[in-house]
Amino acid sequence: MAGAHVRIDNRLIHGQVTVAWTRRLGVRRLVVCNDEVAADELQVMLLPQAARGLPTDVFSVDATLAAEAGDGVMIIVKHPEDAFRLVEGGLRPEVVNVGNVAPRPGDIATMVTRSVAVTADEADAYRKLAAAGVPLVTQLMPQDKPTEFVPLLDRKGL
Amino acid sequence: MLVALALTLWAIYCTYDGLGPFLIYAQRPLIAGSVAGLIIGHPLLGLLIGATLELAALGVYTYGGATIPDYQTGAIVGTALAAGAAGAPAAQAAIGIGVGLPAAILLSALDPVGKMVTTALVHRADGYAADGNARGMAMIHWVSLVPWVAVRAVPTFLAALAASGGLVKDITASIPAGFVQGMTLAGSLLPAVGFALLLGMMELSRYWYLLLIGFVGFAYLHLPVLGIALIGVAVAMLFVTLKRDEPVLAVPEAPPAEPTVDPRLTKQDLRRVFRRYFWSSQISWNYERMQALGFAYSMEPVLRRLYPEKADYVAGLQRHLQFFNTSVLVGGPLILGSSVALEEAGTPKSAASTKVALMGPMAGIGDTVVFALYNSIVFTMGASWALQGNWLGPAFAAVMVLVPYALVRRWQFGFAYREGKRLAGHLAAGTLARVAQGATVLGFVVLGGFIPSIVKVVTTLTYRQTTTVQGQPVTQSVAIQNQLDELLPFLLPVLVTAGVYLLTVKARLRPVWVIGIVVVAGVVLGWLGWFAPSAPAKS
Repeated sequence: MAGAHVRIDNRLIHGQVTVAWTRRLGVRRLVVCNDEVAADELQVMLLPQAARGLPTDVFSVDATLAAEAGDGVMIIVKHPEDAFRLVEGGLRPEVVNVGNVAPRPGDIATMVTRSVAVTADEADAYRKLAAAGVPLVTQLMPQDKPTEFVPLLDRKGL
Repeated sequence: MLVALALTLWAIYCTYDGLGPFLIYAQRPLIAGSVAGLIIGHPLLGLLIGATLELAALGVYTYGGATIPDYQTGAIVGTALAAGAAGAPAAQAAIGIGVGLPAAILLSALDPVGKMVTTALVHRADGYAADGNARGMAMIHWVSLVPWVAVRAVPTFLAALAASGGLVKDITASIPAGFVQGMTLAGSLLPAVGFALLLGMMELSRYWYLLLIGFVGFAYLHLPVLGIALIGVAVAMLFVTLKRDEPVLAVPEAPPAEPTVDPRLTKQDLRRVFRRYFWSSQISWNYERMQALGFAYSMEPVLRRLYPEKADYVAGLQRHLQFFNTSVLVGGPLILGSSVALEEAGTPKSAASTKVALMGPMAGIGDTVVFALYNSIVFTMGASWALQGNWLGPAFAAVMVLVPYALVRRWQFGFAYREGKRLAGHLAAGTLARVAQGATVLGFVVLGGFIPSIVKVVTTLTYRQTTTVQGQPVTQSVAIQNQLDELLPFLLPVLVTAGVYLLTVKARLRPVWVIGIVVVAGVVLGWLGWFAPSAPAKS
């Protein structure tokens, strides 16, 4: 699924996504991509209902990579690792947007923006992503300015 | 001074209301401004200013903690300053709107400051939770309200103090009448911004034709808005019931009988959990965990009852201190009820995972139904009455949020607790999607009537037409508005709203810029005397 907008967002499909992002990007199809979520019957049933009428698939990372390409796809991944694995698997997104990443219990994370926490391991992986030529930004809402993500990591010494 | 203090107290209540109980949605400008007008002793000013700001801010709510203009403070401060201004009430209201709007936009810069302070506080709460110190955790939860309140109450107090001096009168006395006339026109155009923002959130390409129902109802049949809303309910019911024939997700078979849970929680415990959530769900909202502390604080009585061992109790507190955010009116109480049920059933793991599974989808559906649809309809109706100086406007809006939201929250909590593990099956049966669709349909029908009835603009331009009557050339002045009315009633309001919609959605201008453009255009065109909110009385 080349050319897709990939958003990293722990809360997956929620108000920011349904009200603002899908309209702004002209999204025609949503793919929620995370192995655990795809294995959870409850979330597989609920997420498409939250998408306000947009066709929505809930896939594991492998299934996302195997899915056929299409125009106007927005891929929402739960954790940064999902995005890393997608790119490792050969996906070339138009942009990876780091939206909401809350710190996970037990992790030592630094808040890079108000809504994005990054651990040391993740910082390396983000850098690899950017080095591979994938545009990497953080932009919470469409009306916010997209900010290059790697310089933010530099500033926090990660 | 007394008035300034009273306004500050009101600002404190408004902020709290929008973080915890949502009794009357007091942070909305319609309510905040109307009561501020009462406090000052100029109720009409509060109604006019609050209603105008309300209509400019329809559908503008906090989604997932994004910062929005501080319309609450704008309405209170605008009303306070307007009361001190020189001139007739209409001129004062125009000045109040002129002050309130930029104030709301500028003060939004303070919102993140408050939220950052609460982010630091939540780490203290982690420490207390690790010690099993519920009292300390509760203290942090309630103290977090202070930074939220401070960034709104302090500017309100300062502006109210300034308003009580004679300075405002001196400054405003020199404002030219043309500007006031222009500002009045700008005020009557501003609702177009709110409607355009709302349309931008709804599926216009799919349902645009529903706007026609409301438009015809108002423009040709002269139905009052309540009548249009009733038609909207009927159309929404049609959509939802006819849709049932489509293959929706199959209702899952009743799950195999579960081992009955022996009820260890008392009625008292449940009441306490619900009460805590009702009164304080997001007073400690912060960037890092969002509503987590509020959720943990609400769950605490249940955890204390279920886990006599301190280690288990601490683990429970920590489990519910994890990141959480959802829609607190539709969704939150449901998740709370299911968490209580699953903890009681001795399955804390699934309590945590169900919570995570539900919070995103419920926020998507809840925010849409509450903000973009139900509230927008109720507050537009309230504001349209308030603009006519009718006190029923804000009162209607307040009652329409107080009663239904209290009942809906209570019901969700009880339902989710009783259903426990079966809850997921109910939700999966497509109920949520149907509710959202019905509300969308109603929204479109009503909006079709709101646009012509609330965006008020006519042209006062005329042109001279020379005709020959019985061989004599006669020159008449013809009002362009009359000709427009023959073409299509309310053509100008429709064009203005469409123009603003294109600016926000197609040209992707930020709402703040769009508001600026509308205000400047209104002031200029009104000052020149080319356009006015309503046709001038025939002289």
